[in-house]
Amino acid sequence: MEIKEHIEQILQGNPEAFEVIVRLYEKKIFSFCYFMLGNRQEAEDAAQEVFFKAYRNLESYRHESDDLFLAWLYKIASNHCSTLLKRKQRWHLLMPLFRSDGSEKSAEQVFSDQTYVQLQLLKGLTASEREILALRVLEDRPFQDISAILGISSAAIRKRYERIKAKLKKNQSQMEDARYEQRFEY
Amino acid sequence: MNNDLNIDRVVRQMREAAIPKVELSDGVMKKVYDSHTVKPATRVQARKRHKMTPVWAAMLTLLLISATSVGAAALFNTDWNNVQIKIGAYNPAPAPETPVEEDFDIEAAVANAAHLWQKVSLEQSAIAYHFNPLRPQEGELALLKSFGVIYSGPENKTWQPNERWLGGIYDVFQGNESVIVAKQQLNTLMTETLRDPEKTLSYTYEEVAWENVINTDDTVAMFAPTSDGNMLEINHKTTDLNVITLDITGGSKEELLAVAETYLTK
Repeated sequence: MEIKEHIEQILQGNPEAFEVIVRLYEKKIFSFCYFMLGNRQEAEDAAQEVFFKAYRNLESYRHESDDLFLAWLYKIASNHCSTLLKRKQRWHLLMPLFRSDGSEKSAEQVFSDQTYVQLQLLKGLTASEREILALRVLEDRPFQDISAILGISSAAIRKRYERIKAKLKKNQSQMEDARYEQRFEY
Repeated sequence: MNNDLNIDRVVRQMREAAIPKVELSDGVMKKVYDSHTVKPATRVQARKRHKMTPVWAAMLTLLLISATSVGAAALFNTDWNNVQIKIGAYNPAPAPETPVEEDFDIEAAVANAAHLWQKVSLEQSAIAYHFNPLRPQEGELALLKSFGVIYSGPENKTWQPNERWLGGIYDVFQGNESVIVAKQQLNTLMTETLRDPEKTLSYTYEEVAWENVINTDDTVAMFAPTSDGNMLEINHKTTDLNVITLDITGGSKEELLAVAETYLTK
């Protein structure tokens, strides 16, 4: 059964049909949120909220293709995660007042956690830069598709992607320096 | 090392990174079912669809004639605590033939699906559903029993279209000719809308002949006669800023209103 038929079923009063949609896209939306937020629990909560928002707004959605439906889900995810990141940034301004050394990850943990290391590379990237990177990296989407999802011209996306790569490069070299220092201390 | 090649390798590694596997559908579907008492227009329409007996069809036709003579001005439309509530047009034509559940017995339904549902005390259900249930004052109809029903089935269950969501908090009253059942659930969407002035929600009652019977700052109630019994749906704002939806079914209009009054008396 196609997505369109599932959507019609939901709108006719069968919310059960939404489960198929969730199962179909949960991995993609969770991965996107994980990439954006860098925390498993937050990403899981965010992805659930994204699907719930989609469910609540299905009436206003006009289905044209499965690809555009996924783009619509990504747009909701992108808005939701951006809001969460903004809130988080405000909170982080207060964090130094509360943070205790005990909550820091040990160097060994950080070093052994490959995913964490990779997500650390995203440090300093803005929400919109993370969106572009997530769509490019996770979905392997061409710039034109990303442009359609985010509503930015593909030329601008291309430029921003170059800027993102420069930031990643900088983060990577900083992380490599840090790793060297950690090894040296052992 | 060439820097561009290096960063491309990093991007490739990111793509291959072991993103944890998650199972979201249970959590999402729970939210969906919890919101079941708040429905966008078409969902209301679907949930309130009932098989139309010839008597009801005739009555509804009469009602249609009177309704059309009154015109659109008679349609109810109000802004209740940031929620747009209106009565849409009802469909006087017989609804598609769907099996009617005669005298639906919630306790029997729970017992028959004991692998999915669990009957619990009021206290346990209040904890499970995260709200303080409305309690009825003593009224003209006797309260027979009160209990909650919570889901205890597998997290990854696939729901069939004919399966019914039984979760909620129930009070059973003795009516004159039958038992009257009041089911309450936390209305999460209305609660969110009430608490966040930036949110808006539209809520349309349609398909059968809905009538607004209570409209105060803290309560809005809609009544409808249907082919398988009368139905009174109440949305009530509590002092702790929750909206609780109370569905009362099983008796005459007067009986349902009498039961409703026991919950709303301060």
